[in-house]
Amino acid sequence: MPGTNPQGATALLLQWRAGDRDALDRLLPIVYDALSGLAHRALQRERGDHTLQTRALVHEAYLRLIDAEIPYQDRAHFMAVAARTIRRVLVDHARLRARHKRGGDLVRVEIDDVDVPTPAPGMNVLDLHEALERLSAFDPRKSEIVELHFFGGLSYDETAAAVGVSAATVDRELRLAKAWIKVDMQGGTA
Amino acid sequence: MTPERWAVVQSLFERALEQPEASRRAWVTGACGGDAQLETLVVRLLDADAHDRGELQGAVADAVGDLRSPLATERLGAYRIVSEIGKGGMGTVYLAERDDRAFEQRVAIKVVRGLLDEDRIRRFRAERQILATLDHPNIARLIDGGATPEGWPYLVMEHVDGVPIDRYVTDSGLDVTARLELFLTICRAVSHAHRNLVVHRDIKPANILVTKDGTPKLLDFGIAKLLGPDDSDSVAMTLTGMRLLTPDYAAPEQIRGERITTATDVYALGILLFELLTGRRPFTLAGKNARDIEHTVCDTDPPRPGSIVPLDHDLDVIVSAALEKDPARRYPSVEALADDVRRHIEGRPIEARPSTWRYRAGRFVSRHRWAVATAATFVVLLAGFAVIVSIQAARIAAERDAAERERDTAAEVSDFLVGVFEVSDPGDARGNSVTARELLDRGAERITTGLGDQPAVQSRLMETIGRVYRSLGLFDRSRSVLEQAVEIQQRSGGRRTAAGANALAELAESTRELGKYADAETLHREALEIRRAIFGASSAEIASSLNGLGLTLQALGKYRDAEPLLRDAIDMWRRELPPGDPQVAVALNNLNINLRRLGRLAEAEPVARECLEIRRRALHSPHPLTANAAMQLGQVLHELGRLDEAEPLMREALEARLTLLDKDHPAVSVSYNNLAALLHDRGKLADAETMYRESARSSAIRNGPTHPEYAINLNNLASLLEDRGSYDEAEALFRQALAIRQAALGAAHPAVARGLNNLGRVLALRGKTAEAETLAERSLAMRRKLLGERHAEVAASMGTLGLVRTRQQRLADAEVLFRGQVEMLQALLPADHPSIASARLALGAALRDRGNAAEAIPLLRDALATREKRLPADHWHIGYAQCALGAATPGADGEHLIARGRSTMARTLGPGDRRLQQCAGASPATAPLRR
Repeated sequence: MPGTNPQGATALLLQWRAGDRDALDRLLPIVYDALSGLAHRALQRERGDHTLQTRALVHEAYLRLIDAEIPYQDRAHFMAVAARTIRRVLVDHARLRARHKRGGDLVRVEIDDVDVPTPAPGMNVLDLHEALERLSAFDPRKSEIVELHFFGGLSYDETAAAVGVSAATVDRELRLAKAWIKVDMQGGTA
Repeated sequence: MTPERWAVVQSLFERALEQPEASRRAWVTGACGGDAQLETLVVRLLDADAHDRGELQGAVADAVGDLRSPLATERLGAYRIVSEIGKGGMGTVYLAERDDRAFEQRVAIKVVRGLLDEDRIRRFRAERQILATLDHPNIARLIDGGATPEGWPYLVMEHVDGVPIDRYVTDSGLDVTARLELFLTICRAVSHAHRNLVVHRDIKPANILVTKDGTPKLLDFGIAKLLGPDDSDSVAMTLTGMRLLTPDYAAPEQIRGERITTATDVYALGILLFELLTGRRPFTLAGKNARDIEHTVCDTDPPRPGSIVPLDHDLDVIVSAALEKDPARRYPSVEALADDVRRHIEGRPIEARPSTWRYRAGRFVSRHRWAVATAATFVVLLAGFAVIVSIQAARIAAERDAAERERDTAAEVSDFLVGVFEVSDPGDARGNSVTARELLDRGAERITTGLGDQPAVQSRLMETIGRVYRSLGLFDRSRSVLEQAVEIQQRSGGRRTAAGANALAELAESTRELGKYADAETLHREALEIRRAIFGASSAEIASSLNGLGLTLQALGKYRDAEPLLRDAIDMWRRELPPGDPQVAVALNNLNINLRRLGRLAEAEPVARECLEIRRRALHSPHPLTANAAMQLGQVLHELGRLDEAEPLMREALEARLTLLDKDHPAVSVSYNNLAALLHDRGKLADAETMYRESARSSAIRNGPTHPEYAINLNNLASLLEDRGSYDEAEALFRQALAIRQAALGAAHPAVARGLNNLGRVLALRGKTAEAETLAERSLAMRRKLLGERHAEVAASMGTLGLVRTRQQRLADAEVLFRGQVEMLQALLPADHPSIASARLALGAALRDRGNAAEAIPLLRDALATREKRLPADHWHIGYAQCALGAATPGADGEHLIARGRSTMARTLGPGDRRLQQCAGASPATAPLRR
């Protein structure tokens, strides 16, 4: 896995901005690595508090990876990448745990980690992920907006800038997207 | 769901929300127009919207929360988890027991955190293997390791029941001596690890626990590296506010993301000692952002421990020697640090001295000198798996030197480089001796492909390799690697940084060594400009650039422009560095050469002498730099005509170089050349020819047939052959040398002028006067323009032209030229200089041939007298002068002289030499000293 050299990320980001699509591929693993490291370190500090704002997470990642002032436009782009990456991180991890729970060694005994409350019946991130995948099949823009806002923690304005619409549009889009996702998870969407 | 249908859904949803709540449901029914599915969907969507409880945010937040607990079992291998001890660094530590109760031993199990990948796991395994072999009473042993079911690696270590050392010394109220003893124990542990080629990298009180019985144990040995996010440590500190794991104990190079070496541990031990003695840490870093931390640790000096608590001054000195910012200036090893502490405890004087200690008797230097790598060293490293040893060269590695130059073979090896040399199957290394060159090549390759995402590390490594190549004399490879380094710096946005300037400067040097002087000048100017922007008016780096640029201008023949730069470099280095620092000698040497080129020999001599003296004092012998200084002084003395004094110095230089270097090494070749020139001038023509040929041989291989340096060799050999009477070969070689110089140096260069002069002279001797005249005139004009009206070389050209005129039977013109030559040389050179004698000889012969014996004879006598005084009795120049005088002297005396002259000449030149015939009075030849 590549290291998390800030200068490398900056250059790639600028290249991506300039239209080099390959740069994005190279940027993603860097962000991935940085964010996962961050997640752990951040959680270290806040033992017992699991409601970590992903926005803070991404913000830290951004600061870490970008060592120079970049115009807002670029930061928004970066945020988009970061959001996508956070989503991947969380989903991968959730899958890992899920796999573990399903099968495995008889000797092992699972103990609950008391610091993580039992998930309320409702959404987990895998479900959310899959719902988003389905949504993106017919409305990619909403999917992207959800990703940016919820996984990336971008504000309405930042999301709007990243997608290229107004904040009011973001608001509208989110509202319907959220509703649809919930409905979709309950089953019954066609 | 299709996009079209979805658009309908969306429209309905949004318009429904615009309806008043009471009538909303009805409106939907109406708007859906009988499509039951559509209606159901919209209703459910509205319902979901109305009951939004932040489920999405919750899902994401939960998922983030889930990231943090890797350990989902209470058993790992043969161990059972008892409790969690704590969270630290990159892992969580649990207390565990052996489940089968076969041994009552309690262990600490540390589980890695963070997401994994193949690379990390593989590295983890390799290093675990090394750590498992560290067996020392003061190091918590690594017992075992494994991986959790999810795949997180874990380590099983000896559990140490103790308190961190900083708390221990405070709580137990130990006195200074007891604290020092405790410190020494820790030093022994660290030293043990270093001997096993492991660097701890995270020495701090939290990692040193002291048990109830007072035994300190070092923990987490190499764990910082094991579980670190990546190898370069640069991730730990960026300019953006990420907190270092242990900033208080981090060495400057750790903060800057540079090489971590055993010296890094020395630094941490210095901080530890500071804290043990004073109860405080030297730097307050809490709450500082990364930029401030960097500034504090890297740029500001710590307080003296003695200013905080009453302490012996020696302890201040020891601590400050361990806390030097530059790793090369610290104690060279943990042992050295421990020895000094021991000395202090025993009341003996310590070794460390503030600032100047490192140059004493060269002990420091020799510890860090790594003469051209032996295969054995590499095999040891290779066999030891992933080892991290860095050998830091002193400043000498940054040496710059002039035409008769130095190649220093000190090299730096970074930990990644060594990792690159790592052989995955130790069987590969056994029995194979790998040359330094092969390893470098391999290393260069892998760095190019393997570190693309870490440009800062990559370019530094390439810089190092480039420098090593250069010191091995492999200039082409050096330049290509350095070009890459510069490019990487550029791409990652760092050209206008100190590191970027360094890369440029290195590239400039290798470019210069390749003979591409104009390019080198551009590069040096750029690096200088960047450094001025960063460092201000004065700094060692700026001095280095001034020196490098001066050297380049020198190579371009712009001696007058080079001089002020070199003088500035000297002054600046004197200012910025401690007294006696050998770096100043570098610039002194270059200034000396410059002054020589400008013909100011009298000024050059003391400069060369000072350079040699500094080096003799500061460096151990034999030493390449001292050899160079000896050679330089020898050359100055040679040019001043003091051949006796010059020879032993040159021989000393050659011997030293033959001891230290490979026989094909450029410096050896140059030594042969210079000594040959001296012997040539002393009349030992046969010896001189052997040495010239040897020098030319290796020069051709190394420099290639188009390099100006090879031209020097050709030129010198040619003039020797000229003196031996082999005019054919001499002419051919002179032509070749001239062609090379014109191609490489351009149309107007002192060396080109020299080439023109030499070729012209030989052609004149052969009677090819037309061409000779052109060449001599061009040489004269060029030298006047480049060197000024009054210069020894201008005089030489006048002499050559005079020779041409003589051949053309234009004796009046010849006389004018020879007069001019004599007068100029008399003004510029010491009275006894052989060149003056030669010029007088030429003038005297011209006067004689015009029938002016009255004026001729005193001149010829003078010339002979000088030659007899300065040269060995059997030198053929004496014979020549005798002949010339004899031809002017009437009667038997004259004939007698001629006979003697001939016989003297015959001894060196052989009886058949045509000059013996010429001796009878026809066309004289001047025999100037080689230039």
